[in-house]
Amino acid sequence: MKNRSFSDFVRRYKEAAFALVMLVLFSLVIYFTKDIRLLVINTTVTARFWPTVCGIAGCILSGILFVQSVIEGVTLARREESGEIEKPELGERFFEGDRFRSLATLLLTFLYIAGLKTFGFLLMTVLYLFCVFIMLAEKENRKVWKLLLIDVVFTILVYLLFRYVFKMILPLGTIW
Amino acid sequence: MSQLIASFPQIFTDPLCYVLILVGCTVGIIFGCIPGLTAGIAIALSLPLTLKLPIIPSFTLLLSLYIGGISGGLISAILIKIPGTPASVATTFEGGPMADRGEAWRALSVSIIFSFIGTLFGIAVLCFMTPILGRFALSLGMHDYFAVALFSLTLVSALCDKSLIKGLIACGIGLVLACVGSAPIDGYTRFTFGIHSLDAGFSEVPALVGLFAMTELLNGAKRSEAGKKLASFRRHGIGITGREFVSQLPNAFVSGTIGTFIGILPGIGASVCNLMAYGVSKKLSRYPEKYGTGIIDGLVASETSNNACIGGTMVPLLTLGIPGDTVTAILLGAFTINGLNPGPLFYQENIKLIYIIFAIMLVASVVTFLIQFVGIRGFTQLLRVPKYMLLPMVLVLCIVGSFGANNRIFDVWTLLFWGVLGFVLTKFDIPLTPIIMGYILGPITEKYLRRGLMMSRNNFMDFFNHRVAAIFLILTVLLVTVTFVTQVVALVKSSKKKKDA
Repeated sequence: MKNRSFSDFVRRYKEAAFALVMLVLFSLVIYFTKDIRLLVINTTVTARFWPTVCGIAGCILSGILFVQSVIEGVTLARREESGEIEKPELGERFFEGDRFRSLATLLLTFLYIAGLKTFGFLLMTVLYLFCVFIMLAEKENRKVWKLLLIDVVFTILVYLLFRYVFKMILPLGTIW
Repeated sequence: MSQLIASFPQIFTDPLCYVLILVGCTVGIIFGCIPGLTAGIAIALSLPLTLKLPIIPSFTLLLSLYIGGISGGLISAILIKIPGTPASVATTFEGGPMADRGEAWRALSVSIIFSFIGTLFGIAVLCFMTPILGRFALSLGMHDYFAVALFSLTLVSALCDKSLIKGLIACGIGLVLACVGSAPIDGYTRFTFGIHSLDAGFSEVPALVGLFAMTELLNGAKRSEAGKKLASFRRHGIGITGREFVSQLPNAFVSGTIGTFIGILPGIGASVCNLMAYGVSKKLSRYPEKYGTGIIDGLVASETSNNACIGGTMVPLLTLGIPGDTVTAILLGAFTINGLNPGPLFYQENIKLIYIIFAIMLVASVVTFLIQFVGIRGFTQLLRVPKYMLLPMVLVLCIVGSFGANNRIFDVWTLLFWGVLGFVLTKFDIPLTPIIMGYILGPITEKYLRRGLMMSRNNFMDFFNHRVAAIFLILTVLLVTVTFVTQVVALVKSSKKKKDA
């Protein structure tokens, strides 16, 4: 029950929360403009001018979105509680759901990029692609050897094409 | 015209030119369709090769790469909804939904045809109006560039149907992120927080690719999406009927004009003109509500304009010696290597060479068209690869491209940062395109605003004393007013409807 009311609250007011975060971020932009050094001082349009204009405009727009989202959230809550409209079904649990798969893909991509400097393009690409293939493929498609073969062939082809045909530099690792 | 015709034998009598056009167009298309790799990178990589070539073959290679590179961006924009180059962002808006409906073949055909028409339009303008346009480009000043950039920014409103406020916030995010790095004019760093890799700001290509490709990968990780193959496709002959083709000609003409005009203005280029042409096409359309659902009008606008821009960017290069973008800057380098200095006298003194360049561009655009048209069957094979394989593979190519821009890992981190930003923002229904608009146009707008105000001694009203600036500022005010009134009327109507219900 507690879970349900929390998820309802998040659903109704997530846009308001986003607007609030943007309001804070745009305010920070205005605050940090004071750190910008000024070379041209005999004009009103200095290096601080444009970020300040963007920050102020952003704050105003975020404020409007916040008020609009709160009003919409309150209206939605009233209509749902009175039974005028039905509440949507609860989503799936985190570790079984899409959010987990997206976050795991993101984490793997982070590790891939972090490892490029140490382990180099070839090794990290083979590892990364294999892990992502396995994670995203449905059970019936998880044929390890087939996926590994596609992964290795693709990585070597990309390496040969860019390194030796297009003469581009690819990330080199300190170990390999 | 006779000079142009007389230039063709110069290309056709040299077998090396045949090979270079074919190689240049093919490699250009490959670089264009791989997100992160651009025509600029392809030309920069092949510049050392041209040192050993005579002038005509070297320009044959460079211009074929340029034309192939700009046209190639449409392939990934349509098939995987990731623009291959910044010039084809708007192509994703209609190409993506069409591919989802199984109309990838039609989307590719229409885009390829109008890409070709756009290139021809740009070259035609270049052939017949270069001296006039050169004088016009020279007459434009800081005030005019600012007004054009500001007008382009207001077209953001055309790209955010669901919520204007959210679209404007997204544009604000792009504008703020563009402030990171050196400020224009005085060069002091802003918002770098001591990170020296940020001194030059975020690189444009990794930022754009991250925003679209990384977001697509993270969204594609959903259980319902990952197992899918991309939509299967149906063949539709050449993809467009005669009646449709004729009905799209006014749209193509307006978009081609926008592309050529934006191309003439140094520093703005194809990244902006495709979005601007899309926005204008939508505003002028009788059915703007259909834009974004997969109609050919948007494809025509985007692809005609970005290819027409090629002709436009050559105008200031050939007549004034001013490069409009990275690619033309490298081409300027190629002229210099061959002992030529483009500028006001260049056009009169090297008229033969100039017409050979036009002829090379014409032949390269025909070859690009043929390669793409023949290759449609091959491109659409991409749709047979399941998403769980395709998206990570594309991301690896994006990483190669991002790294290749400056050979530093920081640009790969940039890709990840922008990707996460895009993913988070899509969760709150924030449109991503206005971010790119703000990011590309922000520095241009700021630079010309500051320069203009310095020249006018801080008097903003002086902007209205410049003819082109005044026209675009008035258009900007009109566009903002019309958009605001339309939104208010729509709001009042919907609340009335709700009350009645």
